[in-house]
Amino acid sequence: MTSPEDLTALRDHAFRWVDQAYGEAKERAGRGLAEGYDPGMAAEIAGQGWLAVMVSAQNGGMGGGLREMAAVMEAVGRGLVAEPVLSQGAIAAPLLDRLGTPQARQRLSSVLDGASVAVMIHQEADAGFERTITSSRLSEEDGRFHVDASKAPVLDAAGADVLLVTALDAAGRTAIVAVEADAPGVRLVRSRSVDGRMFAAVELDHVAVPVEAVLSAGADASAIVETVLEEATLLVCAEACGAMPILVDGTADYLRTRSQFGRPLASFQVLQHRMVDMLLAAEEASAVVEAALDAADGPERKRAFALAKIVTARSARFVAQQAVQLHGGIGMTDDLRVSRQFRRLMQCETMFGDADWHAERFDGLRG
Amino acid sequence: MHSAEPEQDMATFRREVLDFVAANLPPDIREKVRCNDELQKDDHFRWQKILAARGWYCAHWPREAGGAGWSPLRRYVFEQALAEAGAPWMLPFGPAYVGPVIVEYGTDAQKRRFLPDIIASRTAWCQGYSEPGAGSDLAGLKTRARRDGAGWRVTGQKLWTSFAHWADMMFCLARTSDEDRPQNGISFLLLDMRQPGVTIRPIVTMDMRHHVNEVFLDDVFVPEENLVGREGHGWEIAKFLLSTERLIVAETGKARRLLAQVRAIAERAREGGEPLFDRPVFRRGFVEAEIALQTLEAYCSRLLKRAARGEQPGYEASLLKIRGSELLQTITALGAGVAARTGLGLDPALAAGQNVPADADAEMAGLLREYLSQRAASIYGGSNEIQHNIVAKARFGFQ
Repeated sequence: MTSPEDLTALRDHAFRWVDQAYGEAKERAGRGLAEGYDPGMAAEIAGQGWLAVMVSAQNGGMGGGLREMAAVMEAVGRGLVAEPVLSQGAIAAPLLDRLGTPQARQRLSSVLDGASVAVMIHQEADAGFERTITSSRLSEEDGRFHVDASKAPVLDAAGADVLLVTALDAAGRTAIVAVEADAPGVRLVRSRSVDGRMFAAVELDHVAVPVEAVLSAGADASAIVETVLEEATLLVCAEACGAMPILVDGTADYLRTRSQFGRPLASFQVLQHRMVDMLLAAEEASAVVEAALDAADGPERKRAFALAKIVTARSARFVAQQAVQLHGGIGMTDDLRVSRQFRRLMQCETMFGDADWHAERFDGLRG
Repeated sequence: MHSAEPEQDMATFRREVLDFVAANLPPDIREKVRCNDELQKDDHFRWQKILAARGWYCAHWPREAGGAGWSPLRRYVFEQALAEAGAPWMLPFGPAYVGPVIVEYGTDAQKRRFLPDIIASRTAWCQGYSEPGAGSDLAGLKTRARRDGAGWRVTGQKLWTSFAHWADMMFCLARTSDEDRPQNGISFLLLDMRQPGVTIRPIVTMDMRHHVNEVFLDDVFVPEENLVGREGHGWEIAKFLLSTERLIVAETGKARRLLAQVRAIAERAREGGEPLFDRPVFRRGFVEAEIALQTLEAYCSRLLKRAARGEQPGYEASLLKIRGSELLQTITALGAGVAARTGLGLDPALAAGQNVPADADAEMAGLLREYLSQRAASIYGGSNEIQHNIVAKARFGFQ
């Protein structure tokens, strides 16, 4: 944990960087590329330490926690950063750090210095938002390991050189296996997502891996996977919380400058009230994320995380839809940032479970 | 104000308040709150005195005024815990409204004369703001105070005056002069209700209860020493009063208690032979109310944390008011939904040969009455539409 002053400094620095160094051109630079982002920019981001925020000091990280990474993810949402910060800094790095085995630490150091993009491949093709795996297998015959799995599309997998695949071993334990993306038997089905970033569904057909590729080294990694997914869910909420205020203020600015019927749109009460509702939605999202970050360990913490996703998802949808509505036709265009924020917020809203899915969890977690 | 109060302290304090209510709230009052029965003035005053004996009444006032100098956070935790534990709603007119105004703007003589009587529950207050022609547009008030020797003669009509029928004193806004802007020329006066010229007419609201009144003032004398602040500067005081109330407007403790009550009656109520609580669509509505409650609690915590760092809330108070009122309306609507299955009984059914209603019926009727009375929550204190206007202006500068 860092001090409150360090946290503020980290957040301010990240915000300044996206405001000054990262702009609309950079945001769109990866659009035509196979990775969905600019690899050069990805290396630059790794170089400024964003991927190491949640990694323990002994593994070469900053030793921060969720709070620190949430500040970085807010900046990602604020600037619509396309490079893999969530998949690397918020998922792969803490996963490898928590695994802590020598082979995991080796993979981790390549991620942190930007030499490798490792993407966790967990959810199965037919699982929907459910997080349990049932058909992904790690088998062992005569000391040789093989992986068979059919996984759902994952952000940034298209640009990954290493896939961190979850699979059940013969004893039913969850293993984490590092699979080279170009290994025989690996098939990536690439797709471009609504927000321009690339996803890939991964099919593994009896892919042979060496023993050192089994990063969990015989231990059951299911608790680690669950924690990483839980935290990633909150971090994607933080990303949305970074994007929403930009949309709120941007829309208010637009209403001040655009005139219809001979007066500024900002003078129409119905639009003023809509802006207040957007502001309220954005503030509520920030409040529930903060409450989840503050929650003490225990059953209420899980509920606080579910609540954070429910409220953030709904707020993200409302704010984005109303921003387009209040901009009118121009808000529909790809060229205006509003529509790109709209599409990024669609990702934040639904990734790791939408509001309905989390509402069911929230209901099930009642004391 | 305390600058730092560890969360652990607040959790301990909350526990202490819950235990205190469990041990000290008179059973007859507890029962009335549980069934949302009509509390009498004596019920309120008995409970206020019990709190005062513990040093917990008006404790948010500064020490020199007779309080304990509680921070906004401690006060919030206290009031939410009281409500959650089933203690009566605290009449705000003395401790929360006029008390802090006198502390801030009053003369030493006014402080000596009025504050100890509030703490000791010797004086009941009411608030004379709204008028027939001045509701949301409060600055349009017409009650007039005419100079007369060493004071004023006040003539006009106040409306929706809660608990005027219990009050010894009214703090009111009256026009002492006509100026360029309607906000100017209004004075903040303390008016003795026990004198000729004050006529109180009860208004029965749709929950079939008498909380509010019309108050007619006909040449009522207010001595000079009962002017608070400067003559003609009452609007500023009215705005200050709103600001001191900012973080307390969201009644999350009460919402928590009512939601637990809704759950209990929906678990007992049957729909097609199974608990209503387990029917998916009803449950969905319940979950939505829970989500709204926890969201509001999270927002309150965020603002209180900021207040502890010295960042006082501004427009956020209006947002709390909007969501707080919506929440109580949502929760009580769920209760009304349960009551609808047995005929929306406002007076609980009596079993044959008994004069005590069944528990579930009494609670349901209470929730139903609360549903009816909570329609006022989005109207009073500046309607939710006015709150939207306030935020639009304060946060975005929209005109």
